[in-house]
Amino acid sequence: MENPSKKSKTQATHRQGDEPVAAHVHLPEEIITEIVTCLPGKSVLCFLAVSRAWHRITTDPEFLAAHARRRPLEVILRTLVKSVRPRDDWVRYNTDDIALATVMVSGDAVGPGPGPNPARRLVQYPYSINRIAPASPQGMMIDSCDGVLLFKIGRCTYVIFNPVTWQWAELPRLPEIDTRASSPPWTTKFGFYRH
Amino acid sequence: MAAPESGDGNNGAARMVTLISSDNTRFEVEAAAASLSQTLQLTILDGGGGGGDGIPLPNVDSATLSKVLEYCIKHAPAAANGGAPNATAVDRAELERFDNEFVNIDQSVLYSLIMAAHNLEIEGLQSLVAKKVADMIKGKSPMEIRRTLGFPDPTPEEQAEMNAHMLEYGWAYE
Repeated sequence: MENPSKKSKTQATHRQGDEPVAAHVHLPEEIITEIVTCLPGKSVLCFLAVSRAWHRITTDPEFLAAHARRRPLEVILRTLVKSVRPRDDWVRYNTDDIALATVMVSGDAVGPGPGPNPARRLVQYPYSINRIAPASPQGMMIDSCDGVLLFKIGRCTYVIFNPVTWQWAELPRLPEIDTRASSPPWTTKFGFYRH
Repeated sequence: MAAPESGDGNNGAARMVTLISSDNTRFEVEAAAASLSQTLQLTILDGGGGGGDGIPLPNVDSATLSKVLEYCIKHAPAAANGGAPNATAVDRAELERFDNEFVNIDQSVLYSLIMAAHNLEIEGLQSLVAKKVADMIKGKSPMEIRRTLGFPDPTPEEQAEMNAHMLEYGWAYE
């Protein structure tokens, strides 16, 4: 019994030479979802525009999470584009413009072309981020999970951002807390968790 | 490398099953290969498909089915090894080469294939074709994507929505 699996053969007993004619196959939603899941974020964005049905599929949170889990790991690079000190000296913070870009972690996954900068622009803030205090890095990206980024953009203001769909959402505000208080409660930052 | 591995290899002597395509063509194939399909696996475990009665597949035509089985036969040994933890790099490279060539086919065949893989629940084949279709779509504009996927031309309303989207996310199409 040497390796019977190699001997298997497909036999079509009466083959008809029909070519498949499937010009307009209607692909069911699960298949479309599977296809879109294989795409990089930028291409997913194009799908938003293809049709209403696809818009619905590609903005579904479950889809986005599944998509993010499938994508290769990327490093996020943060660039301080411009920092402006306001004239009014009672304003104690600068206004910063920040850009984020990503680079693939795995070297062989870097995009086509020998370009010097394989970074892909991920996000440019739609508005200026206020630096809270010298001690806390300005407009911080705090965490990321399943492709969603969490930012702190004000003392008690947090936003989440999905670079694939370009959707921003502000989280419910936390109660105003004096971070210089000598006793708790203090709220500094938080991240994602699954539950 | 001469590993007989006669143990629990489903029935030792390769058991054959018969599959019948929508256009009534009969395909005889090893049960181990057909079992890459989750749907067929259940029937086969129940003892179906042997002898004279085959398993009818009313949703799959013969051209598609022979392509599907080509994939299953190639992948069956690796699948039997449980995702091939002990496969050599050469084996894996060979499978990869086969896969790349396998999906290098006409678009309409690809779509029939992915439909069949979906119906028969052949996970590996479905994701292989999905990746291929994704590669075809990558970098295309919404309009080109519609054409690639055989959508009808957009209504004026849809066209307006697409234009608005292009304006908003123009950077994504650079």
